[in-house]
Amino acid sequence: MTTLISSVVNGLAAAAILFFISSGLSLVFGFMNILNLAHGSLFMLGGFLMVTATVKTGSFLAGLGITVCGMALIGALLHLTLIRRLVRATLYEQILVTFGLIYVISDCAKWAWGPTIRSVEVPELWDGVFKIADAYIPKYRILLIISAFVVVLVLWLVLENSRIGDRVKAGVYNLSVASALGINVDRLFSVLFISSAILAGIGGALGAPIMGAYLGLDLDILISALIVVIVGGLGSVRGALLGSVLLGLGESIGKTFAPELAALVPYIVMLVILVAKPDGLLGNKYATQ
Amino acid sequence: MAFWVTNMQHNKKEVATLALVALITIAMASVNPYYASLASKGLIAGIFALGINVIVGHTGLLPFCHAIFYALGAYVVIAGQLYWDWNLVHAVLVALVVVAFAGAVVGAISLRLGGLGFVMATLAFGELFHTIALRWRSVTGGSDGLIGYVAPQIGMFDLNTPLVVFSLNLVCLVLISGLCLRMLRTPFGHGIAGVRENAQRMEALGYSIYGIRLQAFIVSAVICGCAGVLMALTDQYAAADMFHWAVTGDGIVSILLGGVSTVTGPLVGALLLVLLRAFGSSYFAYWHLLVGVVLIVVVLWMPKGIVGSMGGLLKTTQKGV
Repeated sequence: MTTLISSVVNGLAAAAILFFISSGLSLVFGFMNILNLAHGSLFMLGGFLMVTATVKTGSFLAGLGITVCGMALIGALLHLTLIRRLVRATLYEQILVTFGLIYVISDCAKWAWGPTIRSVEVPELWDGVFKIADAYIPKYRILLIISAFVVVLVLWLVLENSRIGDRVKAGVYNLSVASALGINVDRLFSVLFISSAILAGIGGALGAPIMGAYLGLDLDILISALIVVIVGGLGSVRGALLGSVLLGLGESIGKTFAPELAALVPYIVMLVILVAKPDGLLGNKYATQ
Repeated sequence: MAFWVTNMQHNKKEVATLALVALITIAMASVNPYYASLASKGLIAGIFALGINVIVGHTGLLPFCHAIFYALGAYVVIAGQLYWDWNLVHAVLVALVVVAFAGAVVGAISLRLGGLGFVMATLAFGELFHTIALRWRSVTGGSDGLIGYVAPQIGMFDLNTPLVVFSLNLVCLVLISGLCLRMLRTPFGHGIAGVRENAQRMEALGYSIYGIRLQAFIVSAVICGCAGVLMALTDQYAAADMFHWAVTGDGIVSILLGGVSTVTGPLVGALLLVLLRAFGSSYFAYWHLLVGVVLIVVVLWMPKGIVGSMGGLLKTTQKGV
């Protein structure tokens, strides 16, 4: 029971980090129709920025703020130079360009932060453990779960219950008609992409105390994020949430009870879903057409 | 575009590119053993890229799984000789059969999906094999790999000397390129081109698109398996990292640098990449940055590619094919 409680909490904390990365990936694919393979690189950049910012300011919150600003800047820059050119490009052009971007960001990070793994200290207030039943739960994991909840709520409010959400959806259904109706699709997409970069950056920053920031994190987290969005359904935030919880819980519980097999399960599940239900569990039909 | 048409001029271009690659690598090999083994690596990367290009350039699909076949080829050759005392020829034959079987299984499932689904399925297969190789340490040696293999001596040829291995690689490269060029002029080759250019029409003519693509996939897997076998003989080593999807990524970058719609273009791209890595990394630690920038520039602003033309891929594949 004790191990079950702690593996469930750990799994949900992992799911929180997975949601930060996969929601942005899914948003950009679902609404802009762009597959951004460099999304994992943005997550890694968020982690690295957090490392530097917390060291310089000495405060976790200030560090997080600086990371968010930095990611917004990077997102805006990337959208201006590359991403907007990909809106009308073919899927394969998108894959190849963002694959090149992985190389570029990885080497920039190597130049700026070096090859060693860096970590961030947990803020004092959230250091330590809670005792639930007989299980010791690190407080920081609870913080992660709460912050993911907040983001889920914000995304739901903005996308489902606001004019911005309606405009974004209009842009997806028909790019030309939306522009003709006076919706500035380019600006809308730049806001969307910047949001996705910020989401990924927050994921990397909040994940840094647990998983650290290192070169190679980009590819590791990208694979997890792709599994999440394929299983949950590419292009839907609900799908990203479901996929994150399934993968996070599955990996954490699996690691406790069958450590050797657990590592293979995500890939097998991904293949089964791809063959049996290509749109994912909660896929957005119109987004993946 | 229409390179598969029996066109003497076009074939001359392919042969000239092949001769260029051969000359450069022979020149390198004659300098010293280090350059000979570097040239070997370039040739093997070339065979690998050529194998992937059977799928990318000739069927218009983008696979991320060919590291599986490369690594499997290397593993079976080394494990067969190290664990079970097979002789070299048997080990190579078994390796190619295993690779063809793996290609059939991966292809049969992945090719049911188009566009994004195909990319994701091949990626999932690649990482599945990678994870198995990393975890199953008792058999694969994990990231340390299988070590302690010493290549045998065949007649007067000692496979432990870089020059002999280089010659073997060069002969294989020329043979495989020749077979590939020949294959494209057979009815099967025309079938592949037909499916890429207009799948609907081919289907209406009574061809099975799935069948043709699956055959092409198996051919491409076997060629990549050959590259793995040669790598095993050259480095006398096989490790789980050979399964990493970045290995396939390197192959795809080579194809783009060299030109999608040629057979021998990827050889140039691969050689370029291997040389860049060898020299670039000792003078300039951030050579990956260069590769990334070149990749982005080529795709967005130079649709004709650097060496050949990559137009074949980008023009004929619609979004979500």
